[in-house]
Amino acid sequence: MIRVMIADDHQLFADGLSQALNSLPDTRVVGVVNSGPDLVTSLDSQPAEVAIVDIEMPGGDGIESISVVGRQTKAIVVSMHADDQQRERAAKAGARGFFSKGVPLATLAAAVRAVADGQNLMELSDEERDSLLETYGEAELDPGAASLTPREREILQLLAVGVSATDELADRLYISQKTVKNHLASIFQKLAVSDRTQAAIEAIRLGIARPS
Amino acid sequence: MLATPAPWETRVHRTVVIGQWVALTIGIVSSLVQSRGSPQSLVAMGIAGAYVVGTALAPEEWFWRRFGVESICLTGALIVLVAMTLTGGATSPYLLLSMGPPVFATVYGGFRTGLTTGILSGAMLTLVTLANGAPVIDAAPALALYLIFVLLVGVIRRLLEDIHQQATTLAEEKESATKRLERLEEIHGALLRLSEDMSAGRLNAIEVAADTLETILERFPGSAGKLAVDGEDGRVVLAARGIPDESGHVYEIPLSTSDTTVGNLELTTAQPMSTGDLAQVAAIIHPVSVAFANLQLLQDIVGSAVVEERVRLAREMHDEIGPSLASLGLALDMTAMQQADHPDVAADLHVLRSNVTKLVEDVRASVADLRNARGPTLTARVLQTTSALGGEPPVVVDLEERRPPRPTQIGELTSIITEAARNAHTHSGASMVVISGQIDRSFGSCSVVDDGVGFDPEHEPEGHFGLVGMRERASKIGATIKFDSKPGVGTAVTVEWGSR
Repeated sequence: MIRVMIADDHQLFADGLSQALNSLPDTRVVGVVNSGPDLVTSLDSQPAEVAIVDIEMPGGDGIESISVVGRQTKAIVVSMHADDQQRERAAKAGARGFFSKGVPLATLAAAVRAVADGQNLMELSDEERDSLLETYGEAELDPGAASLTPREREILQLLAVGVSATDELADRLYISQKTVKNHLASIFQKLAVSDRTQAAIEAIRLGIARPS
Repeated sequence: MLATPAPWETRVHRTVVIGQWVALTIGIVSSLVQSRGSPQSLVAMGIAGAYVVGTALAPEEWFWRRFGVESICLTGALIVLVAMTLTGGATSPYLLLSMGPPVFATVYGGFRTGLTTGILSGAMLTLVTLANGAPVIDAAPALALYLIFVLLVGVIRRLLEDIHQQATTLAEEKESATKRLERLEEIHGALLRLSEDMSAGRLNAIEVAADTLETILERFPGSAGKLAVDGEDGRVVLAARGIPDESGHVYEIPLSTSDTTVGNLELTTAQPMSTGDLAQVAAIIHPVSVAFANLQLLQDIVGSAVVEERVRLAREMHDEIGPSLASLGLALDMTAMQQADHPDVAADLHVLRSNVTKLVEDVRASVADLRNARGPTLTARVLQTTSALGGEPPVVVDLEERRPPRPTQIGELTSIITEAARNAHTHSGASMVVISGQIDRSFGSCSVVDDGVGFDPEHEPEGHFGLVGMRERASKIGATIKFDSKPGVGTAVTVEWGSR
């Protein structure tokens, strides 16, 4: 799971981007801030692998904050200022990617995956970048989520439709309650959640289960 | 030099004259009652009457002449004193009338003159009183009256003067304000007409310059010229016609109005120009200079307002419209993902998404345009870069530029045209290179044509031509570039962008 922090002062865009990235199975937005300085502060308390940063924000320039957070978080600039001058500034500050706000979600998601994987899109030509992003087009589930067994997936599906009691789960699956508890413990560990409700939500988000 | 009496002074003069008539009437009646028609009283009556009639008939300007009021008042004081001496001195019925001269003196000569006249009258009256054997104290009331009248009239005069001064100042300010308002209205009207003319395309600086230059060159066959105006970023060439002959006669003629120089005309003629010829050219360019000066004035005034509005618009587009559209695009992406089971719907959503992406890019380009909208024209840029080539073959720039290309395109277009011209100038062996075309902001077409050796476009010559670079630049701004050439025939490089 790639943790993403968004720094953008336009609330509608930031919320839309947050919702869009959260709808993907392999990205999770851990915070939305509206200035460069706030990004630096928030990343201290809530680490993220990737930061999506706007340039011009009333509270402080986004590019300036990139050089500060660059060590722990890789930054992608997404701005209305998609010109050569700003691109150079962003590259100097250590940004790994640079896009106009009109960028499609699929491209941005691929860029997030590529940057999280250590790629630097700023060093590539447009053709090379597009070619690289194609290889990051598909979401990759966490190793944990990918290692779910068929039985654990069945339990998650039942949790997603509201069957959560241990005895009921045991009856439905024709297994003992102790086995159910063992499966649940394994699920919690693999999905990094702490209860059945969170497990159901995560399963739906990952596309492993459907709510109805 | 005579001072012109103010209206209030004329009114005060009349009032004093009327007052003297009243005082004379009172004096005559009192004298008749007291002396019952004695010969002395009749003589005094005649003298006093003569004084009053004299001052009433005396033209007002006499009082304003140098020493006029002093002479009249002193004479008047003596005449009235005679009448008073004949009718009892300090207790004369004409005592009130004797206030006339000091009052006139105060009105026309000021407080000091009035006081002098009053003291003189009082002194003379005291002497008459003493001569008549009466005690000096008899003259005291008269002296007090003189002083009171002089003081009172002096204060009133000062007040009236102040009021008059204020009224005059107010009137002048009103007149000045009215004139400024009228001037502003005239300017407003002129600017409005200029603005309308510009909007309607009737006043296009480049067209005006081109027409002017052609008119001048028609009168002097074989000559060449360049007409330039001083812009914010230096001198901008608006029109250039003909090929300057190196052995020709060069004249620099400023485009001037009465108070400013707005540019210059560089004229190269085959024959020397006479004084008459130069006067003829000056007569042709004078109205053009005035038009350009007005245009610059209009642009200065409108420019500041436009810049402010442009910045506001850019900010609004950048801060609100662009991100909102981008957010809409993301929402469409999400919806398309959720409709993966319905390919038709997903396909429609993708089309919508593409349109939104294009809209965001348009907004972004517009923001860039709005923030960098000012700068030299393409013609000016090309003239500047090609003039650096110098020597043979000559490079003729003949561009019809109605509006400069977008700021995001003008740099690349300049580079492409300059590169093509440089290639033709340096490598083609042509006798002439002509840059021509039509430009109107987001669309246009420019050609660089030479009559040189040409080349085979399929086999780009090594090292020199940089056709790839020009193609890349054209591609970057969404323009197309075409190379028409044949060995031995010449080359035409045409760049086109946008469409009507």
